[in-house]
Amino acid sequence: MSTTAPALDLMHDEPTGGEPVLLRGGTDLELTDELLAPLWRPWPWFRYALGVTGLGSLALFAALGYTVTTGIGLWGNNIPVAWAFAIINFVWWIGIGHAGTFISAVLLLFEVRWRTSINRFAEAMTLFAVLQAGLFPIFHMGRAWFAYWLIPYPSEMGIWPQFRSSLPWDVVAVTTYFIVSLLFWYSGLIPDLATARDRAPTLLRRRLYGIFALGWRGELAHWRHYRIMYLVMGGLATPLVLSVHTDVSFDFAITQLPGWHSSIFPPYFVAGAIYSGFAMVLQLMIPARAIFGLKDVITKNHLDNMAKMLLVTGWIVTYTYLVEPFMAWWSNDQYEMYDQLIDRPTGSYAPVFWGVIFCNCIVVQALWMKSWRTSAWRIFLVACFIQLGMWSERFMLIVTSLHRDFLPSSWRMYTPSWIDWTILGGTVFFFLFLFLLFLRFVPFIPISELKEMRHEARRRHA
Amino acid sequence: MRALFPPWSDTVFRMCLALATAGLVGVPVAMMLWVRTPYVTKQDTPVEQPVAFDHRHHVRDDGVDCLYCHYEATRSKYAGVPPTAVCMNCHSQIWQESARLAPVRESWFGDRPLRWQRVHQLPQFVYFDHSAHVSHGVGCAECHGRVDLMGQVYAVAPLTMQWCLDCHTDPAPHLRPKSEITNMAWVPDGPRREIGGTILRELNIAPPVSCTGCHR
Amino acid sequence: MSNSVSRRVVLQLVGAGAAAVGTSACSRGPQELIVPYVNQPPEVTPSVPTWYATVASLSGYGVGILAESHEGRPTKLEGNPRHPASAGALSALEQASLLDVYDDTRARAIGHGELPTTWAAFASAIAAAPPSGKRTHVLLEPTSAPHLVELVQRLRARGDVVVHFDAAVSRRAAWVGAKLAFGRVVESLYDFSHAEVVLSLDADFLSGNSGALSWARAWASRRRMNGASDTMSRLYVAEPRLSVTGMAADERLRIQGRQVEGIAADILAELLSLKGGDDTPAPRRATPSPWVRAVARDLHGNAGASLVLAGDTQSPEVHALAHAMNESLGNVGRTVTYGVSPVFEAGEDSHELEGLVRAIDAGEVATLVVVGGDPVYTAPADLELARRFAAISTTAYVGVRDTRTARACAWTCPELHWLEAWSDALAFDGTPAIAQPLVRPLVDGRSAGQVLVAMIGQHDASSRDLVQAYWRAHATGDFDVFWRQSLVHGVVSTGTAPPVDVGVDWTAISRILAAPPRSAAPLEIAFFADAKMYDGRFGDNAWLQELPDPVTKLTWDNAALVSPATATRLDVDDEQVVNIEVRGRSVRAPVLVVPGMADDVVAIALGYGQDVPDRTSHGVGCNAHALRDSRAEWFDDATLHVTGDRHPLSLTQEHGSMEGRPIVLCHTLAEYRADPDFAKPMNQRPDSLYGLVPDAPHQWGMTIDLNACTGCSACVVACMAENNIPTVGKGGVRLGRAMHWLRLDRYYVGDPRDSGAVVQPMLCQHCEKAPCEYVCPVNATVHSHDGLNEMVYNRCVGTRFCSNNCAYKVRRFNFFNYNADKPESLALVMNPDVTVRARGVMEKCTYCVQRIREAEIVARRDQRPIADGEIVTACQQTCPTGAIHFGDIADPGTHVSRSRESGRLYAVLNDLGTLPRTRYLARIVNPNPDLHRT
Repeated sequence: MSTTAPALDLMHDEPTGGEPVLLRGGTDLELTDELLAPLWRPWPWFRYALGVTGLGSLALFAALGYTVTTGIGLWGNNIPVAWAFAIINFVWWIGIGHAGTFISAVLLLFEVRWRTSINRFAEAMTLFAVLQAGLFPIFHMGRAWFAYWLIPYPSEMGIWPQFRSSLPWDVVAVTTYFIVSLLFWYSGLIPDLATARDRAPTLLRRRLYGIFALGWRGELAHWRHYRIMYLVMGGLATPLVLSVHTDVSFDFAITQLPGWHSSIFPPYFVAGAIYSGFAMVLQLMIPARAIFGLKDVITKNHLDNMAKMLLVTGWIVTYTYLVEPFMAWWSNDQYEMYDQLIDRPTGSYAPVFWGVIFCNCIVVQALWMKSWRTSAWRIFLVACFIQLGMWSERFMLIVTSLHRDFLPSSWRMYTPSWIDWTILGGTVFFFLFLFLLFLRFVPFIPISELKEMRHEARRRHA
Repeated sequence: MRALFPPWSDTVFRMCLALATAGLVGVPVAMMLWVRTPYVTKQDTPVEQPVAFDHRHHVRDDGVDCLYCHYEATRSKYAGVPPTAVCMNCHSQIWQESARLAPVRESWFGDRPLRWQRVHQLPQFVYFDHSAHVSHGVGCAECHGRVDLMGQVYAVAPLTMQWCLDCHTDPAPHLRPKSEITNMAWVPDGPRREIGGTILRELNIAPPVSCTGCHR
Repeated sequence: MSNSVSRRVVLQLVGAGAAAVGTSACSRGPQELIVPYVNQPPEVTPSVPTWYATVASLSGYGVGILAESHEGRPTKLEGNPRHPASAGALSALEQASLLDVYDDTRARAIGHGELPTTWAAFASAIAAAPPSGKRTHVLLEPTSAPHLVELVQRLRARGDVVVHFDAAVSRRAAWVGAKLAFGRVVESLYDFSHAEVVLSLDADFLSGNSGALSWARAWASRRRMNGASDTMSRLYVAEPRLSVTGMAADERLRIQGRQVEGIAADILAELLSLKGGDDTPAPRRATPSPWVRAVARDLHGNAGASLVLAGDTQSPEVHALAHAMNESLGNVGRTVTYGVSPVFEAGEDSHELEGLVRAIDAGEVATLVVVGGDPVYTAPADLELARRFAAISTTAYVGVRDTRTARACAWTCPELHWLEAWSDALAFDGTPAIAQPLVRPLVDGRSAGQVLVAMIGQHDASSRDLVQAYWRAHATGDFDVFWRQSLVHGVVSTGTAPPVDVGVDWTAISRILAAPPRSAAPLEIAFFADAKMYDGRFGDNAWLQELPDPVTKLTWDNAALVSPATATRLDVDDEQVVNIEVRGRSVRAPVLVVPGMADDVVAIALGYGQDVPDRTSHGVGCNAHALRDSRAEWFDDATLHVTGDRHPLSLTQEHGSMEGRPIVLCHTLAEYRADPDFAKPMNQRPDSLYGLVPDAPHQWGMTIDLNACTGCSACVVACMAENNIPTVGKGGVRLGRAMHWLRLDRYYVGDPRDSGAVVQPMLCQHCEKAPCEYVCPVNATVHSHDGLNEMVYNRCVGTRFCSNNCAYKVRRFNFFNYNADKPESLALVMNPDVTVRARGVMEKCTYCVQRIREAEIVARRDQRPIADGEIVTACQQTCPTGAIHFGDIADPGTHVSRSRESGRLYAVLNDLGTLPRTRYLARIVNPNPDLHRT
């Protein structure tokens, strides 16, 4: 078999230059075992982590159940602020999801090599984030048990959904997004599941992985079909990166509310989504990288590239923050002007606004410095700020616009209730809960792709 | 290393896939069909009443007109199940001893209202108005069927919104001359759409199709 | 669904009234029963309401009412057009009193001490002759009811009975003032329709009781500007707090309550000197204020076509001065006439509570029977009634509510609500009317008349017997005809009394004029009868508790109202709790800053802070009665001590400024004349690619005349009653979840240091291009062919997207199941023609679509077109000033269509292109140019 491959070779092949994307030497077998090790090796802290996040998830479902049986009144919502935390969280989570698809699909089509070791992470993250997001459109309804009325079907009432509204399209967008992400993620997993099947220590595990491996035997035909399908899936997933959050942005853009009624929302939302998504990937990746000692699989190169993405999307978002007030002023619409130029920067929710500016526009500038782009912990810090900033941005967008619209007589403040906070926190725990299970039972670094990458590199080198 | 799975497991797996796909399509379709079944719409199931009242006897044998008992129908939302007094108009004279009428007499002399089971049960957010229909050429039989042939009354119409709308959007085939409103056995002398069409024009009937026509 | 059970109960009671239960229309609901009458009353047709005429009275003044009854339960009260005090309108109070019948916490069973007892026992106890030297005292509320008056006289004839009358909110000052001016008590009857200039000396004639409804209508008739050529009256108001009348004023003087007397005197003096003549007294001040001079000149210029009123809270002197002004202006017989007061023994000693107190102290009260009211709670604190009651051997209380007085009496006896018993009452102008019961008594109670007659030893008389007995004796002609006619018309056609001819005693007036002007107090407290609680009698009425105050928009509370300047001076802020001290007595109250208040005045509403447990009123607000003194019932010196505490206030409107947005268009008469079409730009149909959807023959629309609207809030209660609108409680309102479909937006305008206010009824505008419709994912809110924006509760899934996109924020959301936590008895008040909304659905004004559809069905049934005015929305029906027009805008002949030709017509937020069907007529004010020259 092969001998160890010197790391520097790969360095020069890496189009993005800078740090290599894989520092690991050793044989394929070693690499495989190395990457599969976390699946077999016991994690002393696993059950505690699972317990904590599990309890958090229970709190989430308790809160949701309480809401459904008692009423939306348990939340802080009121008239005029009829949408609040639920929709904020929805937009936030669905946004986070976007990075996964972007990394795995878009970067796949562009054949960006550094995507390889992190794409599964990102896809899983997408899946679980969309899961969280999916809760809210249903549970924010006053009568969640009628949610199915948003689906077009020939009802005995002879009524159809209102297709001019964006909400029925949300249903389509989110479900499509979830299904495609799921299939994409799963198909990518198949070869590694097969590997896990073959390397699993016990019969039971072999059987279990075997079932999910769908009888993959790594034959040439398998690989051919696999390649085609994976590429097709990538092609299908790519437009979703744009379409899903575009539709979500319509939930606001199609209204006439000052602060919502804006045609810049689709690109603005997509950029923001990827922004927070990449932040989330980093937030998950960096600790995992440290815990499982993957510094040579997820290298500084990855961090560097991700950081650059943050910088780019960060600037797109910043640009929108500048355009919005400008357009308000340019439109000379007194209601828009009040919302954008007075209420947001100086009103009761001004701290949120300035918090958004600080987290999303100022902090990220640190990434101009290579030292920050390559230091895991600094990037992690920045990512946390961005995550907070992007959530606050949705708060600013939704609450600040609603609480003071056209008639001052209906102006009112909004304060979230403890149920609101429980639900928000609960989704974070539920998300981590699912992610833990993913780390524990699924090969979270794409083994076959890594090996493949290595072989390619060698061939070019030779 | 021995095989993980027996040879037939592929078949099983494929079947599972097939079933899942079928279920994905089948379950919603089944549900849509189910809500339209007579079981859900409560059609065709005779309802046990406190008094064994027989419309066949009263309408056909005695020739009692619908409006004799359901006299509210022309001026009220409700056609109205008659007050006990109406029963007693006759049954203080005839069948005073009949055991079947015992509940009626108890109600009358004990001043306790009879508690009839509702047969045509509209949701309570539907504001149906009998007077509006009866005065516009919609015969009793249109919705209630041949009650004169029913021992125990049962619903013939599904009373789903779609069913209401079918008539409200195209009333002509369902209209009849005012004189025939309570005629259970009416046979149109000619194509109904034409007969209905003329009545439609005469009474310039325009059934509400706006939501608040029925939901307020 | 967890709440379907409780609502099921409601629904069975409500009959057709229904809610979308948590099961879709398709699934099997629970088996329902049909329970027909055994013997159906001839007048009853199920689902068709019957209307009865009756009369309610407040402090003795009757107001004619038409009550809607569904199968024997009153569901709504409307004004009786034939009744002079109503003219078809009804105030918030009378309308809401309907709810008190169904209050399941009202007094139910008769008791003695802690023990239950019988009416017979009670009757014999109060009928018993008192020991020698002692007497039986009876304390009634002021009354005009002829049959009661006769009973009182018969009772007095017993020899050992003394009858007193007491009301915390009475017109005593007015009566005494009349005595002062004329030497006898008369009732002033105003004719605003001929008054060019009106001066109100702290008189809230647009929203108080007695004649307010008819006065408001007449006043508005001189404000309705159909064209620039029309003239309009001018209203001067001098008052300590911003009142409903104050909001309508053209020229307003913010002034301490006790300074009004000085102003009145100055104006009169000025008037006399303008008038000249020999008996002109010397002007009181070297240089009267410009306001005084301007007012006097304006009044003088409109002699005979002007009108001066004094408020019930003002001193008798002010009333005397007002009478003097009217006489010297020659208004008597033109804009004001005098009649005999309908109230029995008005202005006489029997109306002074001190009489009773002296008797108690002298120990000559053997038995005290209190009928109605709540004197222990409402009487001036210095009289200490609770302590004095304890000294009486036998005390009895007969009342509808379980009050503090009831708790202070040995015998507690439920009185029948006025909707449960026969009675009668005189209107402010003396027109008699007979009250017939609308519902079989829900408690084992007696009417006031039955109690009085029991004291004469007649136990078994029904309230019907008593009333009939009186009228049998006084009616002319065939009694049965008379009786039926009186009941059908709701007024007794005995004709009103001829006007009384009186003349002012000028020596008394000059004595008042000679008195030195009183100096202003550092801080004056002004008590006022609450617009909702009145003196507290409506404390258990959730509709009124949740009704926003017409001016402050405060619900479920009263507060220490101060002007911004005073707030700064005292360094207090909204919701800050202060300790108000008056004559050594103190009460803690939260501060609410109200622009338009007079400086150095703290105003506080009566009727709150009731402490009877388990009642709606319990713990709501603070008790201002505890600060009143019998020597100074309405105005007094006070001191404020700031405490560290805060008390949350529930306001339905938190922001008072219009922020310079074109919401309430307001022009002066001069500006209007200069540019009669100033509103046109706000009434343009913006260019649109789309045609109009509506295509039906009728197109419904509404116009609201902001010149006529006073903000009295009657329409809000009418809407609640008609449309089964739930209350959400103090917490709910504070969270911004009030459910009122129709709200009255109040904006402070003008110089913030001396601001007035404008009012705008805001309800669903029924936009032709409704923003709410295209965002609803399930088509639950759509447009009807006749131009209504329809809200389909049973289709709504509660995304609330529609509310977000509603520019007027008139949509209301059922955050909880607001009907589940209400007592079952309240289900009886529900209107069966309107769905009772479930939790989680959106709702809003429907233009009373149930009335529209009903009218359509009836008209089609009779094969006739719908007449203009046949469909009347609840708000329109009860509006005292007729500010609301509703009808078919497709027919140019209708009232509403004609109102839409006015140059004042505009659409709120017209630029959004929503094309609202509800349009407004801009407000025109008529300030005095002399006061604005600079």
